[in-house]
Amino acid sequence: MLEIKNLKVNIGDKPILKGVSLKIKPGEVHAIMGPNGSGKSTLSQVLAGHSDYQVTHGSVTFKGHDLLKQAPEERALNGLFLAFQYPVEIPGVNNTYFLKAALNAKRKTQNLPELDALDFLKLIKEKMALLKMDEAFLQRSVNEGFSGGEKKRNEALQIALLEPDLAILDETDSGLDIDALKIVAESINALRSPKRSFLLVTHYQRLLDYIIPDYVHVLQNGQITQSGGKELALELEQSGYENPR
Amino acid sequence: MKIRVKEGEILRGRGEGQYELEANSHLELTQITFADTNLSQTFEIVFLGEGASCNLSFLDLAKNSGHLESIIHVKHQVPNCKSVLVHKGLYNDAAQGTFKAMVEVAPHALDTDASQLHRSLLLSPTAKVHAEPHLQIQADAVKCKHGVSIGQLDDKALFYLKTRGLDEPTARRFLIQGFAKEILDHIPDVESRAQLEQQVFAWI
Repeated sequence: MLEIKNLKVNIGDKPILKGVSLKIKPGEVHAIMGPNGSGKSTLSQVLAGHSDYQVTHGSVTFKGHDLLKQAPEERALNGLFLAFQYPVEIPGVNNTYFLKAALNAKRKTQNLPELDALDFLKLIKEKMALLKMDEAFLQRSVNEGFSGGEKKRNEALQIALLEPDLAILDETDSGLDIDALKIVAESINALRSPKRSFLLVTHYQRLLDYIIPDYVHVLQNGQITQSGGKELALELEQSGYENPR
Repeated sequence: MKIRVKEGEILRGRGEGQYELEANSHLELTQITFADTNLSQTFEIVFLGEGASCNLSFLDLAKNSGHLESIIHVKHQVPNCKSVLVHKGLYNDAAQGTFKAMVEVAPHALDTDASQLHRSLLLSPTAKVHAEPHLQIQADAVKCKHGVSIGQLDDKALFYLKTRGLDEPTARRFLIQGFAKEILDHIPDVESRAQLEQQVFAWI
């Protein structure tokens, strides 16, 4: 599904990622944990195609394609999704209109007919029920005035709607209270399948209580310093990032 | 053109002119102007009677080498009136926009509540805008504010939309429509609003 080989990334002259390698197979859930400033968010943003970061070395292959050569929208249409740590507010753009455009852009690349307003509404309401979201969300502007938790749910809704092959969740648990976290985790768990992979990027172990990863990696100072099974997350919670085994 | 809004009446207006507001009247002025050559328009609002109010909503769209100038003059001559002015501009190519607003509060126009806000987006590196908001306040006990913000399409929002599979032109169109919506929403008639939305869309 995804193969990152010795990836080095700068912001300006400053190296942020200093040789990251990671392989994610279909159906696997990987978690990347690390302290603030370790490069976690940089990795998410680079994979999604943000132009502020310069890849100086290494390669990323996604579903057999050279990911780094693709524009952000190509990556998305090819099945990569980034749930933002800070979803962007877009005043004046109706959430339904936005979600429908995103879905139809994807359907178009899959050679499926576009959904009309009525069919779309039926579908989105099903997905919202899954996430226990109020239908009032549909009338509002994209993320505008949403609470932190509402923004994260809106991201989870997009995963449920767009059904990506690989979903990267950047600090999805931040801003969520425990009830909302459970709901979001349930919706993600419901989407787990042998064909779909997840990359959970998180500072805390809390999210991993609800979405159980197959593999846990520790990112420190731009490099993966440890990899292991789900138990590694619990050990980190005990010992902290400063005192590895 | 002189337009009189009679006592207690509500007028939905558009177009250049001098609007005179009698007591307890209300003016809802929504003006959407497209320009690809040079164009200057002037609006004057004069409060003649107490308790009157107006909402002035402008959307200026200029492209090519057009220069679109909007001059808006609001005269608070009597107490207890309220004016809300929102002017938005979208300037593309080598177009220029000028926004000149003057809100005047006369010495005896107490309890005036006046605001003016200008926001514009420069859609190309060669587009320009001159914003000149003026407040001339000669009375005490009034509430007046003004604000200007000029910028470009939000890079973060563009990136967010692209990561959802929308291409650059679609993402830009979304943001531009979102920007225009605040003004278009002032048009109550669904059909004419949809028509203007189409025009804005086509203009982009």
